[in-house]
Amino acid sequence: MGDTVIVVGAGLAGIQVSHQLADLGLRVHLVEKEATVGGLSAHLGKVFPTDDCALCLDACEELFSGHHRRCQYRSLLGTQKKLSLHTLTEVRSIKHEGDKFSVSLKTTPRYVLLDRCVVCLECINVCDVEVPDELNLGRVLRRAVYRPIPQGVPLAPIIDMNSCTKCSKCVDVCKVDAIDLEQKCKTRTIKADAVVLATGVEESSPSVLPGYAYGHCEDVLTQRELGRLLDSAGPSNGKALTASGRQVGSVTMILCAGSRDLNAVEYCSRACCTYSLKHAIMLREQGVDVTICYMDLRVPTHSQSFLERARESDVTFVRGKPDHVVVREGSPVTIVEDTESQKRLEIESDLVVLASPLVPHAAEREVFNSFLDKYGFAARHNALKGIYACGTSTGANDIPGSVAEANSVALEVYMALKGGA
Amino acid sequence: MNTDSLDTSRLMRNQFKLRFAKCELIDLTPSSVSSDLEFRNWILRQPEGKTLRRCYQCGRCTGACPIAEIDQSFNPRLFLEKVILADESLAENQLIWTCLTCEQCEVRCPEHVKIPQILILAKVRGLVAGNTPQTALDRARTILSEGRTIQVSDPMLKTRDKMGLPSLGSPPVKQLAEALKDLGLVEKLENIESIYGGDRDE
Amino acid sequence: MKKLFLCTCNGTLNKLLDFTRIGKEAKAIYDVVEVADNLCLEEGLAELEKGLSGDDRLVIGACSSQIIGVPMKQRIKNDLVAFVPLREQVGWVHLEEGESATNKAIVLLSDAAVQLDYMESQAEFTENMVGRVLVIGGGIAGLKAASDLHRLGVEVTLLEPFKLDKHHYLQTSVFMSDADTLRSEIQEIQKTILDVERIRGEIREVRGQLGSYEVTINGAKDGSMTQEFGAIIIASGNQQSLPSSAKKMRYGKSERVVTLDSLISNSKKKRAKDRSTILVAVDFDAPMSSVEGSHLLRTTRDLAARGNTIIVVYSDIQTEDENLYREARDSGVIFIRGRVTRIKENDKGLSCRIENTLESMQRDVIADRVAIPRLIGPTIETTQIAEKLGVECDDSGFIRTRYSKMKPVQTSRRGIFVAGGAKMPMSLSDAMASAQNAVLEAFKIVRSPLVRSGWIPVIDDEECDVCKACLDACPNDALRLMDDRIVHIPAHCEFCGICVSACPTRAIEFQSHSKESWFARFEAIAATHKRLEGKKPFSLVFACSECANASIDQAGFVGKQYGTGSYVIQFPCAGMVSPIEILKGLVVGANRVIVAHCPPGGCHHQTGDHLSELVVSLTRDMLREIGQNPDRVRATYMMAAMPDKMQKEVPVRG
Repeated sequence: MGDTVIVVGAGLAGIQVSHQLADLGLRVHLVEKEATVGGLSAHLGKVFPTDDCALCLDACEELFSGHHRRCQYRSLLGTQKKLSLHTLTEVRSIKHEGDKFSVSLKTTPRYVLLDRCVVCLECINVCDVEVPDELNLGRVLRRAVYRPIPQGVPLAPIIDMNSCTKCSKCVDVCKVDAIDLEQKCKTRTIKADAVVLATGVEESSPSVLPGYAYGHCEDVLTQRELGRLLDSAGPSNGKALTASGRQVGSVTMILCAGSRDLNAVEYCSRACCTYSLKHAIMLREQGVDVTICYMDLRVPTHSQSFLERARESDVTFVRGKPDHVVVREGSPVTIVEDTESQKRLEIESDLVVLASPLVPHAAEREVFNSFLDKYGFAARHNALKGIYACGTSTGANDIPGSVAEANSVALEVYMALKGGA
Repeated sequence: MNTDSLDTSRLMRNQFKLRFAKCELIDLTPSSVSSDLEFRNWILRQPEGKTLRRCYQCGRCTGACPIAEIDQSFNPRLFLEKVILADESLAENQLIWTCLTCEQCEVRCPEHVKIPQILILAKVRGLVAGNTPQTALDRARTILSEGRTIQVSDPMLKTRDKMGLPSLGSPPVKQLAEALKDLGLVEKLENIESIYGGDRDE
Repeated sequence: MKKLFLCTCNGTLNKLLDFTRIGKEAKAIYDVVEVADNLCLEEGLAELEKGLSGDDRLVIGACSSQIIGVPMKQRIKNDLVAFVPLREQVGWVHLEEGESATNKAIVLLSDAAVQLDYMESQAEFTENMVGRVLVIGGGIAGLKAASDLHRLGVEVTLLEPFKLDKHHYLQTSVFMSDADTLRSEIQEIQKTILDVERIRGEIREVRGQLGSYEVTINGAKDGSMTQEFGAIIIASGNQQSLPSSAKKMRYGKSERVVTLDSLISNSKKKRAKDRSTILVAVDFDAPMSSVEGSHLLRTTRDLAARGNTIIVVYSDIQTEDENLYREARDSGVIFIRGRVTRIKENDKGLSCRIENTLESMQRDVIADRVAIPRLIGPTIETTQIAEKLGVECDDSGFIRTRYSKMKPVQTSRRGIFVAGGAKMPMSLSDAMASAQNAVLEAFKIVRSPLVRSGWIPVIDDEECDVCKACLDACPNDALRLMDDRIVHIPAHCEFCGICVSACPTRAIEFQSHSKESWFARFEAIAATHKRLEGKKPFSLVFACSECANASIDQAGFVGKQYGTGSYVIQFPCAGMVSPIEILKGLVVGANRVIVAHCPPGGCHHQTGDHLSELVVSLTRDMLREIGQNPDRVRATYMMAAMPDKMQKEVPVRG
């Protein structure tokens, strides 16, 4: 048996499984379609259950023997001897050949050369093009050459060719010749002995579930978007502001905004109750009134303290699934029955925040179709031997669950390739 | 903060506080749940009635309901809860006749419960027991006399004309009356009286 | 020779900072000063390599050590290197204060020069690991762990409790999945561990350390035995108990009140008569885990499918699988949100009064039986095992893991892991995954010798009073008492230095971080600051090398500006800071001393956040006592997700 493993997706689970496999001595190719690693967690500031950074990674043994975990930017991901990181790379096909897989990869250009860039950020300073920053709700501007996520690994910027005017100012200012505006797509094929899908989940767009005024009212956000607002490195430096820039005084949260719903997503997304509570606590710290509309509060045992803190900080809980959100004088009004008092409430607030369902990334990609169930999730062990999945690609989960699953899959892959299985 | 452990007693207290913050609303006279659950089971046996099982009481129907918006006492979610608990008093309640059958609730229901149909079934139970509002009787009698649920007036016809809608023609009143008579419905309709009286719900 | 290498980072840093002045000043304290434009690139590194000989001590004034340190380490062998992050902690954060920023750079470089004077090579050590692993517990997680280790070629001893009863285990563990799956899974695993050493017994004593734990076991047959293990996995499982509300539900008083599990048990005698009305009273006060919730739904679904009328009185439905809830409702289970307030028995059955919160009214139900779901907790043995092994438990008696987000099986003690329900109630698949996690960690320990390097605490036996304060303070059990001496266990050490601040006689000094070194460094900072900035006040930030330092670097990356006159000094862990360093900081003239640690509960070394808060509060008391302003000293947490923390602590002077 060979020892090459391809891990698809460099979110927390993908990184975790890659670290473990590399530490066990296998050759790992970690493939990420975005410019930086971190997946969904890269969009979040703080996370439960520990209420600290989302970008905290398990420290790999090879580089940090004796340490426990590391910030993403100090994780040195990809500098391990046995781990190659391929960003901006997608899987084009997976072919089963004998007991190996032939995986075809396509890398789109970053236009900034990773082996040359010293991350001085001068190219960003000289760029004249300004476009809304999609990661930050379009509320702030970014340049055509930019760093999507401050901690994101690799640290080098990326050029967005859709907005770049090719004025070449960045090329001129870069004395180390790290910018190549003519960079082309590259394809390569890797022969692998196992493939691990760690393609993860994303927040679904709430516009598929009409009624909650998402897209009509700028003050109706998703929890991820609220997370950006509350991130001190986010568009409003951590302050909760309305789209018009006013300090938010009250927020209504709608849980299960599409989860546990045969009209949208049938399953429970599992993480949203707790991260909504986390956001509620952060908002209360800013003195914002918070109302949470829920059906059942599903907080994992390890995070019960969030529920406790939310209650102690006087978050209002309304047991009922809101039907719709209307916009009155520019502000969103949530229509919900408080089932415990049998009263139909019209809750006026400055912001409405939807806990949009977590949906699998892999579902969008035809290449993975044969490995997925009806929801678009993959089984931890695929019927086809040699294909594994972990993290949220096997079902919505929280970080501790994803990490544990990644570790267990790492062991299984190792046992399958190195004996023992 | 240690997230792995929690002070259970404090948590319990808070949970209790939360749950029963609204407890003064609780009606202290208890109602019994019938041991045979007859009403519920009857509904479950009817076509579409079995979708009742799926209801998890989220309350979205009440939020969607245009009647509930005007009348706080009209609460489709609560009606379903009564059906689930086989509370026959629902069928006796005139309130359910206020339903417009607009089906807003059904469209929104996350578990595809056929709420309007279940309310119709409840009405049927009420009818069988003689719980019929006067308006419903009037409608039924208008069908007998006019072949329609409502009387068509001259201004209505004029408006239709203006809008370019086709002529209504005259309904087959005679055949309809005979058919209904054969089914024994005419006789029933003549003998029935609304126990609610006819004034209130106009 | 003492050499300084500066980097302009592609000619950007020298736009703000006056490199000519920096170079001139540096020449006074360094033997050689070189300036490069891109030290981290191939050409820069080649230049660096060329300018160095083996015994040179050097300072790199460039970007964060986390960035430049990596390629540099791969290129050069010199181990006495100090880093000054001129980019993240000066150039990028003082954009409006060019002259002061240059001064700050000079101050930091003079500090680094002193740091070099006290720097020692890191200690290196290699320890052999015993190849055998001990798995405690005969449940599914223990079996799975033993099986996987065995398949990996690791020697395993499976220690099962005296009173392990297979039938009883299956019955009480049915909450993990359905009974058939669990049984067949166990049978499958049993086949794979025929060669594994299995002992019935219990642990009497554990000594030793990671890689060589010496365990004495009281066995059933041959008295006691002692064996060495490289790692230990605790898989002592769960047991079920009745909730406190059971008594109020007339459990034990009425035969009609039973546990929910007894209704589905396979024994025909106990089996509920179909077509009876069963009221399931979920304990209102105890938060239910998703495993318990799923079990409740599976059980009630099956009971309803047999023709019983099931009424579940619940507060929040917990489950890992929404479809289980759907199936339960589809099979006719009635859910009432609220609680049972009273149960009376009469000849018709049990008259139960329920507060239905969704109707705001009380409902009376006549039930043939009332069923109480049991709570899932750790076994009693778990606490005993934990005590013997010296690992921490939480208030409910579950084994506490070290860091709930990323370290699913690591207990508070190195080389000891927890698998399955001993950590928390788990479904079958989660318990199996948990066992695999523990196997992975144990395997990584026992498969090869442990090689480590780092600065270690050095204990001065003359000064040491053997008060054992350090033993209690060390979060990793890396200090032990042997023959009336404190001995350092390198295999456990995380090089945090917490023992230093715990020692009342300062008999412990950390390599390269001695008291003298701190004093000399603070003095150098103060003197240089005074020379360049005159009377302008300055603050010292004692930042832990993990979260706090990352937060300060991040401030640079996202451009959060803060005031100059703020000198960050890295400590391995904030828990190493003692009042001595803080007070010395004030004595040399710092206006403020800020101790920055990891977020609450998030210390990489377990207790540093808490300890540094204690030390600071103690120091503030001292200041108050002698009539000084205690607000000159404060402790705070910093983390990379909050890059504005530095800005809040050290505002830009207006």
